[in-house]
Amino acid sequence: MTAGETGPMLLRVEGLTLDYPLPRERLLAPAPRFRALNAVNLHLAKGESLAVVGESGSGKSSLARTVLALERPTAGRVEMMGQDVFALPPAGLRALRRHAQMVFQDPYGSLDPRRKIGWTIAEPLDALESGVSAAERKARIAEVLDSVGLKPRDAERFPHEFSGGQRQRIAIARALITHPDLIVADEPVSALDVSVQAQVLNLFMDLRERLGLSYLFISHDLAVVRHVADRVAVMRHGEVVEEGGVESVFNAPRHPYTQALLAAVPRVGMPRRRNAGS
Amino acid sequence: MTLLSLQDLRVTIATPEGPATLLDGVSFDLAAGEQLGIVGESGCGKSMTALAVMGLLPAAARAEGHVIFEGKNLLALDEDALCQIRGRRIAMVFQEPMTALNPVKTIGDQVAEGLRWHMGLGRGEAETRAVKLLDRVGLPQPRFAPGLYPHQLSGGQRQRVVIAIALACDPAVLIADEPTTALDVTSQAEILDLLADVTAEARMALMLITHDLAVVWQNTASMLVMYAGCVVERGTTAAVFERMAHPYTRGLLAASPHALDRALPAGRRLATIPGRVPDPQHRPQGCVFAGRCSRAAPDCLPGPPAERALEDGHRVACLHPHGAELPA
Ligand SMILES: Nc1ncnc2c1ncn2[C@@H]1O[C@H](COP(=O)(O)OP(=O)(O)OP(=O)(O)O)[C@@H](O)[C@H]1O
Ligand SMILES: Nc1ncnc2c1ncn2[C@@H]1O[C@H](COP(=O)(O)OP(=O)(O)OP(=O)(O)O)[C@@H](O)[C@H]1O
Ligand code: SF4
Ligand SMILES: [Mg+2]
Ligand SMILES: [Mg+2]
Repeated sequence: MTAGETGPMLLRVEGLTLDYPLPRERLLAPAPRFRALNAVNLHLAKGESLAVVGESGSGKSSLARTVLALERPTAGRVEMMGQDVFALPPAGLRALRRHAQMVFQDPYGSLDPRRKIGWTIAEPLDALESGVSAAERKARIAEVLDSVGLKPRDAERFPHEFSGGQRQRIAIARALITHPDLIVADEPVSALDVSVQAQVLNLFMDLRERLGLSYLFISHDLAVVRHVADRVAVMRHGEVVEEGGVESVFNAPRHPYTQALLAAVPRVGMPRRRNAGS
Repeated sequence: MTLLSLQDLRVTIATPEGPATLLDGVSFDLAAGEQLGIVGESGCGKSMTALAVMGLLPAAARAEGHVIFEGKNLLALDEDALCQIRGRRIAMVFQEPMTALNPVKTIGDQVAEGLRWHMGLGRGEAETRAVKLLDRVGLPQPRFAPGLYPHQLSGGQRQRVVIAIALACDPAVLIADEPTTALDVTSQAEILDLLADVTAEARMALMLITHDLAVVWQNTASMLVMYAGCVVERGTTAAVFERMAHPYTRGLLAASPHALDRALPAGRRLATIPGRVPDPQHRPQGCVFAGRCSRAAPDCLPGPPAERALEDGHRVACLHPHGAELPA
């Protein structure tokens, strides 16, 4: 389901360019810069799910951070629900953040080991919404725990008491608590083993059907993306080199890099590598 | 010739709920130039096996059994002797690049460190070699100056730095714990080719830990499937894939998103293995997989099934293994 580019968009990214400074070669020379994003254009309609795939270092995480205004671009615009996020005053940005939450890659590093998970899950609520009563806060924690298949009493437990897949569910619960419209997920399953990966991907599909969420789903794994996205954007060297419906990109990739990416997916049963085996 | 031999390795750790057995009698041999794959779900003991070989188990853990390397039992060596081996003769690519790298040291210094410490190289020479190693792992100059810090790199680029550190001193055994999990498939192929090249050139033995069965299929000659601290199936990679005798091995393949070459029809969900790996504190008496196994029968419950041979070198710890018919 692809909405026309002119309709109301949840997210619109235009000409997004981001330069990082690199270490100086000489003390007095200007620091060289590295262009991590180069004039990226993307759009995402409400309820739609867009995957961003691409080579390591192609700028996927940089894109995710910039879309959520965690990084300031060198040029270009990010418009969320019709508002230019970099033109907003801090209060406006805070209000907008409730509608867009992030799930980070690392299910081990993204939870504070000393805090009960109820605290961690409620953190965006505490930071972004005021006037939430204690009873409502508790109910909201229970609600999101239930959404991701955990129990309300799990709020009283610590991260080390959960498996990797459960921790990733906790991270997703945290992203759901402000009732966002958009979830930006940066490699949410790549640290997980296959059976847990399947559980978490199924959860992403369920939540989308139930809550009408939109995803900006970042992954280096095409096989994963195929199951959760409507459209896919392929990035290379900071640019989007191909974009289209998931099945058309998979079945008829146009850009040579996309073709190489599809050809490189290792499969059981395909020829073994030159050095393996004896 | 066997280079590294694990014999009945048992690792237990004290926890608030009592002692937990993390590894329960793991044995295998690794020969020079051999590529061994280790697969299994999260928490089944893959990293613990690697850490035991490296002498880097958590302080609260106790190891029994033997880890024989070049005739010495590594479990009996003191820290000084281990330091001579670790990073020099046996090196490891750690699973989490963020925690393996020092955030306040440049990548050049981190790669050069082993060269200076183990090989006695001077500062300049070590830096020159470090730059060559960075280039070798796909971080060429001038883009990836040795003066960069880890936070200035992407996730995949950090993983390459960790690989450069492990390769620095030409180890005899390279343990790679999920070395390509953070990488896209083309970068993954580059890294796996690189590991294949260096292991072939130097007859380096490779222990490749991964949860991606396709990576094991394409890059290893033999493999172990681990579950809840035990090896449940082993053999040449070709033989294990041909038969997939253990129900768990088949479950792993079915749950792999790569197993499907089409998108799921709307509303369908990916296959999962029901239940989860039992905690080390709550392992059942009989077959550890019984609670999740569709072939479980009453005889699976009294005691753990012993490993038995199917055909040359292919062994399985299951009372009712699948036959040679292909996975459904
Ligand atoms: N703080 C920084 N300073 C300098 N360069 C940076 C910084 N952060 C990222 N980069 C560079 O920007 C490029 C894009 O990085 P990014 O993390 O967005 O890549 P990615 O597509 O997420 O890769 P991966 O799949 O490996 O995580 C990389 O080449 C990286 O080296
Ligand atoms: N410091 C520790 N104290 C107690 N238990 C631990 C400790 N470290 C690991 N464990 C437990 O040991 C078991 C084996 O862990 P290990 O890290 O070897 O798993 P793994 O197979 O590498 O999993 P993954 O694929 O998630 O990396 C797990 O059940 C884990 O919870
Ligand atoms: S021994 Fe029994 S329970 Fe265990 S894997 Fe085999 S069939 Fe299943
Ligand atoms: Mg990234
Ligand atoms: Mg591990």
